Amino acid sequence: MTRKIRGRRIPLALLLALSLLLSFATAVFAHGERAQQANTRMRTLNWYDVEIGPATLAVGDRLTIRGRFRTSKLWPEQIPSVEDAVYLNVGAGGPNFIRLSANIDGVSAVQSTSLELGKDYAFEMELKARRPGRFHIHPIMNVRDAGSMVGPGRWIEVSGSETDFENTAETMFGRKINLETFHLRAIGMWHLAWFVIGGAWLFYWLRQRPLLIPRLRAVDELNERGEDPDSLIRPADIKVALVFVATTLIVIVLGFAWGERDAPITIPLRTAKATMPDDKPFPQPNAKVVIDQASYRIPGRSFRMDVTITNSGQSMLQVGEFLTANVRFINPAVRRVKPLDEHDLVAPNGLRIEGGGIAPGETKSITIFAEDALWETQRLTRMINDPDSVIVGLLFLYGDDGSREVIEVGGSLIPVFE
Amino acid sequence: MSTTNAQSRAEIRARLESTVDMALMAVIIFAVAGATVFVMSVTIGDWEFWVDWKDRRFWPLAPVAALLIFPAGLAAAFWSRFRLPVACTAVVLLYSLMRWLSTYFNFHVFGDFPMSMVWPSIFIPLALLIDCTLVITRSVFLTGLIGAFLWGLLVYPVNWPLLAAFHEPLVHNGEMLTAADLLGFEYIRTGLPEYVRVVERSVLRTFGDAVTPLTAVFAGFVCTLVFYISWAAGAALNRQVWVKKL
Repeated sequence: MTRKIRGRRIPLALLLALSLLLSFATAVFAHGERAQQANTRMRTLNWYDVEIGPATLAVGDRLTIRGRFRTSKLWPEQIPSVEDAVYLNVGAGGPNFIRLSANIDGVSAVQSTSLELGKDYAFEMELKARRPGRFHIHPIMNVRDAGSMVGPGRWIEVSGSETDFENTAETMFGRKINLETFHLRAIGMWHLAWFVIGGAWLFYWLRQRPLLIPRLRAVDELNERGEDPDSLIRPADIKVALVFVATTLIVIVLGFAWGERDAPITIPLRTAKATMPDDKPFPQPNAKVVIDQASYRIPGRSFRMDVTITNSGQSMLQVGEFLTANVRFINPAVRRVKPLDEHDLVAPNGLRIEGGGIAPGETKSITIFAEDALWETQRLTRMINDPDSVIVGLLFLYGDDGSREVIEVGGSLIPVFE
Repeated sequence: MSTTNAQSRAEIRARLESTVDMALMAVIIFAVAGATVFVMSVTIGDWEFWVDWKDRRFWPLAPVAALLIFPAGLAAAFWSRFRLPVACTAVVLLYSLMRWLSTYFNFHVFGDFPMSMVWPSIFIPLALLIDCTLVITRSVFLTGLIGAFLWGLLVYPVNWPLLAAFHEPLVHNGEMLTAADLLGFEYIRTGLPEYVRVVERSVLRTFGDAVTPLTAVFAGFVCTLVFYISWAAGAALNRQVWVKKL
């Protein structure tokens, strides 16, 4: 009695321990973007003007992700670049949404494609909410042999029930399909049929009891006597095997014919890469920016950049924003930007300029300060530990006529430790 | 009295041997099936369940060749020790069962992918053909030549009633895709971009358009080779070796 109770206690204790362990587990929402080396996040692909919305929607509603990205001219040599193969993707914590469409510069991005360095691309994806919950949605650029370049994210709240979700399509031959459950009956039926046939074979051989030791003994004895252990296979066994072979082959042929009748015209999987236009120009801004010196003062989390700007445009230019690795440092004297949620990487007062605006035709040296705790929280200060201390980002210059110049700046960074 | 004792001894022996049967079967087959699931998952798992990986060139070749390793090795032990032609079917049947459970819970329940996107392939009839060939021919050589060849040759037709509908063309945003491609595009896999798929691409080779039959025959040859190697390895591992001194 005591042993029985003890026997029950052990599994119960294990179950309790497992439940306790699971109760400490929390959901993971991040996509590991901060885990990448700081300088590689800055020097690869900078996303900007990214809009993800609406922020609240119901299951079945559509969500749009659109924006632009600049592939860096200073892409590290050792990292395979976008010139090989890239795939515009979404970080959505799994198939909580489905992707209805995706394009880069208007070219469908269902397949992978190749891009060029130093160019500016517009992208847009349309998703449809599939599961209720709160999800942090990012655009992502997967780069072959390099990894994922994660764009800025936004929290999206989806209400409703997963049972309301529908995803239908129609083939070229008019077959209407529900992709959630497509062909499952046939898949289940064929698997079940083969489980039954395979199980019948096993039952035929394994039905005798005892089986293994008597057969082991018999095989050993026949071997010792110099006789052929194959004599253990009876003529009836061979007949049964022949029946199973015939049945198997007949079912395979019937199955194949059934498949052919079910879908008489089929095509192989699509693998061609999407081709981007090869005449895309490099950005031609009306200003030129040269970094004279860049430093990062570690105790003050302060980035300082001395730059010389030449304004070749028609309007007065002001530095309004510096963006690197998805972190936006905003100059409040030029524009107001509010973070959209608690994880929007915006420092609304993070940019300070000494030297003022740049008049048309003028070449001027100014000093830019980007100061915010985001340097630390986004692990960008780790760049002082990277093998190559190079800073790259996008500088946004705003004209008094409403124009905007987006210029990639980059150069060596010298840390200040005191 | 002595007859009763002999009877009871025989009963005890039969009971013991039956218990040994159950224990051995469970250990051998579940361990091997478990190892097979693990090896398949870490080597060629993607072809085995993602519907947009089931192509004409690699899916009918890589998974079938890899899957044959453990069944053929265990078949050597079961045949040489017990003259039982069940190892291939038993391992593949249990593997299929575990694959269903793994796919259902990992990818459907936890990963939330629709089952129509992650269903496992069918291998049971291929295993049956090997076991039956072994019984009919009682020859390892002929089993490799015929049974293992059929194992590689027939994987495509065996799975065609499941797969054909997924290869029906449709037009999506002005592009022609298969239903399988559409599933792969729509259901977001952040860590599995499209270019990662190892699937058929156009080639300049002669007879490049006869992909399915050429792959089937090649898979047959490869599987014959895998069968012989695995059988030899299984037979070698099954040999009793007494260590006289450590």
